[in-house]
Amino acid sequence: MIFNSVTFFIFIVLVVGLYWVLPNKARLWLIFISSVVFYGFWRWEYLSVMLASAATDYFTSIELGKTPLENKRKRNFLLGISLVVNLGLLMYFKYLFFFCDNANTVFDLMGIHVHFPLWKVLLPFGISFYTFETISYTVDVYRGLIKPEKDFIVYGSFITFFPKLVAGPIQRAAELVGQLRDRPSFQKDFLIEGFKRMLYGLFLKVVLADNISPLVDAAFDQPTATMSALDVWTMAFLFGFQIYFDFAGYSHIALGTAKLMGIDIPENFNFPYSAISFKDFWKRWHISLSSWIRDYLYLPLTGTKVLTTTGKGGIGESIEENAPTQKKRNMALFATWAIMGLWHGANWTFVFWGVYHATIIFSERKIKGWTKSWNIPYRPIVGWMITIPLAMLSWIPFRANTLTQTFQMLGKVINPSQYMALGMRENVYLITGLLFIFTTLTYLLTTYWQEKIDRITPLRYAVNITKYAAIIILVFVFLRPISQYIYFQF
Amino acid sequence: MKSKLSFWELALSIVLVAVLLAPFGKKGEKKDLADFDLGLETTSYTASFKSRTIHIRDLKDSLLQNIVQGWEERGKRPVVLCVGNSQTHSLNQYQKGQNNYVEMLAQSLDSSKTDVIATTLPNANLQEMYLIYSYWKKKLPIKYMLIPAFLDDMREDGLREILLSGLVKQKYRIESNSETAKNLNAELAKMKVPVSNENNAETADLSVQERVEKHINDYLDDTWPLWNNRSTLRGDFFIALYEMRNKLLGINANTKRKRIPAKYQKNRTAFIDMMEELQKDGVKVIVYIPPLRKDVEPPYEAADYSTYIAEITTLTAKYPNVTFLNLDNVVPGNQWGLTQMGLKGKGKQQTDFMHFQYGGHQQLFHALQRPLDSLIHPF
Repeated sequence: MIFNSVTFFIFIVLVVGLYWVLPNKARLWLIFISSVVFYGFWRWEYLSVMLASAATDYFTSIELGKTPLENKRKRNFLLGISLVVNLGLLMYFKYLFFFCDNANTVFDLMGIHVHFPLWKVLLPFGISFYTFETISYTVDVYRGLIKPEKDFIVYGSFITFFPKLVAGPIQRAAELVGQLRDRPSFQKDFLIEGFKRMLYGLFLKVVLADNISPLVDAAFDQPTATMSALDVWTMAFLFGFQIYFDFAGYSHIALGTAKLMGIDIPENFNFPYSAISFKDFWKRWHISLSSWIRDYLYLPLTGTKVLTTTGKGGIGESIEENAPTQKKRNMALFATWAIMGLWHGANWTFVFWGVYHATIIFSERKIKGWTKSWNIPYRPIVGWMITIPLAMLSWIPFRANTLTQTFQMLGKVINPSQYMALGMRENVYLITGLLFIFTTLTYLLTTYWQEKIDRITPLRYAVNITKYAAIIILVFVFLRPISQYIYFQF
Repeated sequence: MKSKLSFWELALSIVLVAVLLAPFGKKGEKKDLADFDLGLETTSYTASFKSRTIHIRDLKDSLLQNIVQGWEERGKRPVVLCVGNSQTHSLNQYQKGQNNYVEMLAQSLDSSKTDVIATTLPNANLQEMYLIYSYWKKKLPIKYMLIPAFLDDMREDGLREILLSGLVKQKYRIESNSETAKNLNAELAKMKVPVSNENNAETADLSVQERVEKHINDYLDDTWPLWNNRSTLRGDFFIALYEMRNKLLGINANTKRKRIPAKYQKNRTAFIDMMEELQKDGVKVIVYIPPLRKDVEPPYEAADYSTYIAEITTLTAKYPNVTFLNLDNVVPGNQWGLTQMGLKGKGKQQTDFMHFQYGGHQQLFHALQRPLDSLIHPF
C-alpha cells in the first residue's frame, strides 16, 4: 500500500481508531495483522518472502540466545544461516539479472561460450529494508547487545511494522521492540504531532516531488549531445530536490503514522542540503541507512568493535574517529560506499555514485589535515558552498540511465566550452532556482527564526493556521491515484 | 519539524480550508484538458460530417471507435488524414453556424468520394503526429495526409499520457524500426491508463490497492463534487503560476520563443521518420507552414524562422510524394483575434498568434483545397 492514496487514509483511520479503542494486549495483534494486510495490498503472494526472512532470524536468534558465547563455532554457524538466507533473497530478487548479465559479458570477452539465462524477477517491495533489519537484529543478538525476543508477535510486529516497512527508516530492535512491547497510553499530542508530520510528508511528496518528476524524466531522456554544462548542473540540482522531497516526504509520513500510535521512530533526514562537508552530509541524509552501514559494515571492516546499537547519528562521525590504521580506514571507506551504492540498485551507475562519495570524503580528510591551522573566514559557509554543488552532482550517476550517459554528462561539467548555451525550456531553470531558494529559506526559518515566531503567540497562530491550511489544500488538490516513491525501487 | 502546533491551530486551519474550498464544492463543468491552452476568446471546435464526428482532440478509446464507425457508415472510403494542434480545433470569436477548415474539406471532398479524418492535439509535437499516423494507418486506408509544420511545436517533446488513454489501454505499439518508433514505444510501455471513471481502466492486471483505489475514486467522483473538481483546481493552480511567472518575468504573447536544441532534434528526427514511412506507404502528403499573424511582430526571431522554413523546404524536397506549401501569409491580420488567458477572464488581453477566426479557416481551406484536389485528381 502506498501512503499517498485515499486507501491508505481510510486504512490509517481504521487502524489508529481501533488501536486506541482495543485493550493493550490486542493492540500488538492489530499492528501485526494490519502490517501484513498493508503489505498484501501490493502483492499478497510476496508476503511469504518477507515472512520467510523474518522467521529465519527469529529462530536463529533464539538459538543464538541459548548458545554460550564460548561456542563460537555454533554461533558463527547460526549467524551464517541468517546472512545466507537474507543476502540470498536479496541476491536472487535484486541482483540475479545484474550478476548474470555481467558474467555473460565477461565470458564473451574471454571467448567462453557459456551463458547464464537472463531472468527478470519482480523485486518485492521493501526487501532491501526488511532484510537489513532482520540481519541487524541477528547480528545484535550475536554481539550480545540485545536479548532475542521470544514473543513472535512482538518480533513480527517489529519487522513488519507498516509505517516503516517498505522504505524505512531502517529500525533497530533495541529502539522499537521495547515500544511495541510497552505500548504507551493515549495522549492527544500523538494525534496532533502524527497528523502534522504526515501532512508535511504528503506535501513534500505529492505537491513537490511528483510535480518535479516529469521535468526530471524529460531532462534525462534528452540526447546527451544536446545538453550543456549548465543543463547538467540544473538536472543535478533538480533531481537532488526530487529525490529529497520524495524520500524525506515518505520518511515524514512514516514517522507521523507511527506517532499516531504513540511510537517514536528516529529521524531519517536533517536538512541534508545545509551540510558543510560530506562528513556532515552523511549525518543528515538517510540517517538510518547510514547508521546501519556504520555499525554492520564500515566499523567491522576497519576492525573496530561495535559496542552499541542505534539508528541515530549516521556514519558521519565514524569516518574520522574510528581508524586503527590509515590503510584499513581507506579500504573500508571505498568498500563500504561501493556496497552502499550497489544496495541502491543493481547497476554500475550506483557503484560509481558510491565511489564518488568515497573519493570526496577521502579528499576531505586530506584537505582537512592540511587546512586545519588556516584561518578561513566564514568556514561553514565556504564549506556549504563547496559541499552542496558536489553533493548535487553525485545525483547524476544516481539518476542517469547508463554509465556512458554519466561520463558524458560529467564530462560536460569539466569542459569550459560547454558553459555557453542553455538547452532546456526556460521554466526548468526557473523552477530549479526557486526550489533552491525554498529549501534554503525553509532551513533558515526552521533553524533560526522558528523560535522567535513561536514566542509571539498571535504571530505563531497566524503563521501556523495559514501554513497548514495551505498545505492541506495543496495536498487535497494534488493527491492523485498511485504515484510510487523513488526509494520503493530499492 | 520543531514548531509547536496546538489542537486549536490545527482545528482552525481545517476550518479555513473548508471555507476556502466551499465555493468549489458545486458540481461544475469539468474543464477539458484539450482546451487548456486556449484563451477565453477562443472556442474549441471539432469537425463533424453527416452527423458523425470526423475530428477528435484526444485519443480516448470511445472517440477512436466513433471515428472508425463513422468511416464505415460512409462507405469505407479513402481517407485524408489531418494532424495538427489547437489551431485546427479552435475558432477565435466563434459564432453559431461557423466551422473549421477540416469540416469544409470534408464537405468539398464528399463528391470525390474521399473521407477526411482529423486528429489534433493541443501543442502537438511531430512525435505525436508520427504516432497518430502510425495508429490510423492500421485502421483506415490513408491515401493523403495534411501536416502543418509549426515552429512552436518543435519546442514540445514526448507523449502525453492523459491525451493518449485509448492507445495506452489498447497497449498500442508502433510497428517500425525507426529511431522515433523505438523511443515512442519505450514511452508507451511505461504508461498506465489513469485509474479513473472516465476511461474505465481494466482492473484485472491491477494490484489490490489499485483496484480498491479506483473504486474509491470513482465513488468519490460521483458523490462529492469537490473531489470531482480537483482536476479543475489543479489546472487553475498551474494557470495562476503560469500567469505569475509571465507577470514577474515580463513574458507575453509577443515574447520571442527560442529553439530548444534537444526537443528540436527529436522532432526533426520524427519528421524525417514520418516522411520515410509515408513514402514507403505510398501516401501523398501536403506539408505546409501554417498561417502566422504577420501584421504584428511575430514571436520568433526572424532569422530563426527563415532558417526553419528553409530546413523544412529542403527536407521535403527529397520526397517525390510530398508537396510543400508556405501558407504563413494566407490569413490576414483582421482574421486573427485576441487571447485572454488567466483565471476567470482576469488576464490581460494579448495578441493571439495561433488561433484565427472563421474567416481564417476559410482562407486556409481555400489554400489547401486546390493542391489537395490535384493530388486526388492528378489528371
